Amino acid sequence: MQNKWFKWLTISCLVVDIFAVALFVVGVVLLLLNKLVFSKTILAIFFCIIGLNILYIAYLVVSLILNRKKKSTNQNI
Amino acid sequence: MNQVSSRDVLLAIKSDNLVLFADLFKDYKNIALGRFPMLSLCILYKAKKIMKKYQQSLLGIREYKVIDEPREVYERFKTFAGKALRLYIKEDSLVSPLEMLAIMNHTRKLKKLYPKFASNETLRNRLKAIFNINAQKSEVTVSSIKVGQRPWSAYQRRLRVCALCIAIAFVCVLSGSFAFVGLSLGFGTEFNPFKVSTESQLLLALKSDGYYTLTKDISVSGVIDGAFKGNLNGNGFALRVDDISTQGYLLERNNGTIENLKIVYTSQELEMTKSVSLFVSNNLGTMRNVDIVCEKLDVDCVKSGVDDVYLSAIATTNSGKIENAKLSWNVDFEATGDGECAVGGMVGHNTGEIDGCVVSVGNITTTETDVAGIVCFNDNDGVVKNCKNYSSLKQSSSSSSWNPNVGGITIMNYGIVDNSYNMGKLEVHSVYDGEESAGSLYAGGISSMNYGTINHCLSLGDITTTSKRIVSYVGGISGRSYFKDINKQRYYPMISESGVDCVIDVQSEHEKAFVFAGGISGYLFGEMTECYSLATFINGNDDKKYLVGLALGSADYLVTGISVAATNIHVLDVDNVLYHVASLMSEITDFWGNVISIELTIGGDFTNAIHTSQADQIMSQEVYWNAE
Repeated sequence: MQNKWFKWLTISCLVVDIFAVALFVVGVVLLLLNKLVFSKTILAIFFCIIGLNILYIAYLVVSLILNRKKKSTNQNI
Repeated sequence: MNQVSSRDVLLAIKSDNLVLFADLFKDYKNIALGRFPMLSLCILYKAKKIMKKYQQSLLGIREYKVIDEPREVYERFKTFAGKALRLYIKEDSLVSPLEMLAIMNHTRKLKKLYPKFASNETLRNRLKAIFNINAQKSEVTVSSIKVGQRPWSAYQRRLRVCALCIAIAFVCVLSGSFAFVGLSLGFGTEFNPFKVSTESQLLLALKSDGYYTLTKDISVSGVIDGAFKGNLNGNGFALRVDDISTQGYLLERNNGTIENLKIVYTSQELEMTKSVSLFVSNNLGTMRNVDIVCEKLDVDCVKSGVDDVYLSAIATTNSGKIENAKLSWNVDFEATGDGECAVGGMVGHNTGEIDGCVVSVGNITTTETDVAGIVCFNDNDGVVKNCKNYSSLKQSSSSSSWNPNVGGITIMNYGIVDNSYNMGKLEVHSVYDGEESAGSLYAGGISSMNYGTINHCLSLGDITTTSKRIVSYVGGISGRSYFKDINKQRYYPMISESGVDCVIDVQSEHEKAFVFAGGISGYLFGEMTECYSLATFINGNDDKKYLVGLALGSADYLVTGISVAATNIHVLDVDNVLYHVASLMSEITDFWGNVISIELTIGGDFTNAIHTSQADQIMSQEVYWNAE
């Protein structure tokens, strides 16, 4: 189950991050060519994606802390 | 029954093929490939379709017919079983479906199926052993099973650490890029304005509605048509302009805010037929701390005869707010043709607010063009306050149809002029010497013609006028103050709390070229209160042509009395001027009330309202104040 969550969250994050990079590039190009104002919509989406990444990082950190390596309790079997 | 090969069974399960499996299941439902019953194999190879259809049937099998165990099954099982493999070393030890679920860590399914097999003690022990080996907390009893999470393998841990590092790096790189763009370019927002460093960026910015700041001086050759709705902070940097555009402005309309900007024009010659502003044509927004410098401007103007033509530095028309603007310029302006034409330091036509603006020392010389230090026409809603003019203003005229006007702050005031000073010298010279009826000359330290309110203003610039033929109205505060009618309502002009300390030199040649001059106003039809005049006069009163009064040159004498309401006025006692008001004009009307002639009588004193005294006495009065 944990692996499934990890897999889907990682894939989602990756897709969203690629979108963020594209969005950022578009934002900068528009900034320079259009009205010299960074689109507020792009800015909002961009911050949302950064926020999602931070949540993803938090998820990884928390799960790594909760799953600190434990030795098996019965090695003699 | 034919013998089935383990290869066929494995093929059906691996491919999750229901048709193949159905054929096998019909005859060989109880077979096991070595240690692995068919359901265990289905779990191992994730044959979901087969499990869905045959799980119940396969779970019911208790005894198995064992055939060969393919090597690959063992290899696959080994990867999942890990250390638990040791439980199945003996070849006859079967891996039951529930054990397979435990090994594959499918705990939810295991919990679901467990109750049916809970009584099997061997199974319970095996499950406990599997969980122990995998370091999973577990509680396996006859009635229930509780299983904790399986700790990650080293690979899973590495994968997560790797993902964490990539995610942190991504956030850092993206945030860093974002910060870099923000710091180097700016986002055009209030807290992070776009940094403008080239002319093309400036032209683009002035068509937009964001927040912008200059990062260096920029040479500008183009103009911006349309409205600027954003916020431009010049940051103390300058726009350098070599040529005034043919459009007559640098920016057509300002609806936004422009501040801390310097505009430097090189000396140049200009031919104009319509209004020209050195910066904005129409200001509807706010302009703050704008500093304009033009060393020398030689202008040849051909008047249109239709529209009023203005030359101004900040804006041709202002209905917004102009604060703390500074202007330093020298203008030589010659006009030809018919129509109205005027030069005003800051603004041509004002219906907004002009606050704290200063025109520094310079010379503005015009021919048949009215001139004011700050604003040409201050309309009904216009407010001019805290402004100062230090430049000398001079106009010459030789036309019979032209009424030359020079005002220290405004030419024509219908609104409010408050707390403003004129320090510049004012000169008007009319050399028209023809026989035909001509106009009048107006000069006022604050406003040449006043229809509104002048409050707490100071006039310190000397006033000089010469006229060959036309009548002159000259006053320390206003040349002529008269009432205005708006929507059939009459509003009288007000001059209050103002002071004059200058020399008034008025001269005329022709015997009918009357001169109406006063320390406060050349003519007043209205109210003056709490004012003082320390004005001295080169040509005093002669009761014939030079109608020079200590306070007023002239007022109207009406049926109801004199047209002036005066309170607490203090004027300097000078030898060559006899009266407070030099003359009174009476209208002679016919039976029906039509004016048929105007009679001029020698004036007199307002004994209770106007007080004559020496300079030191005036300076000790409450009404006296001076520029700090």
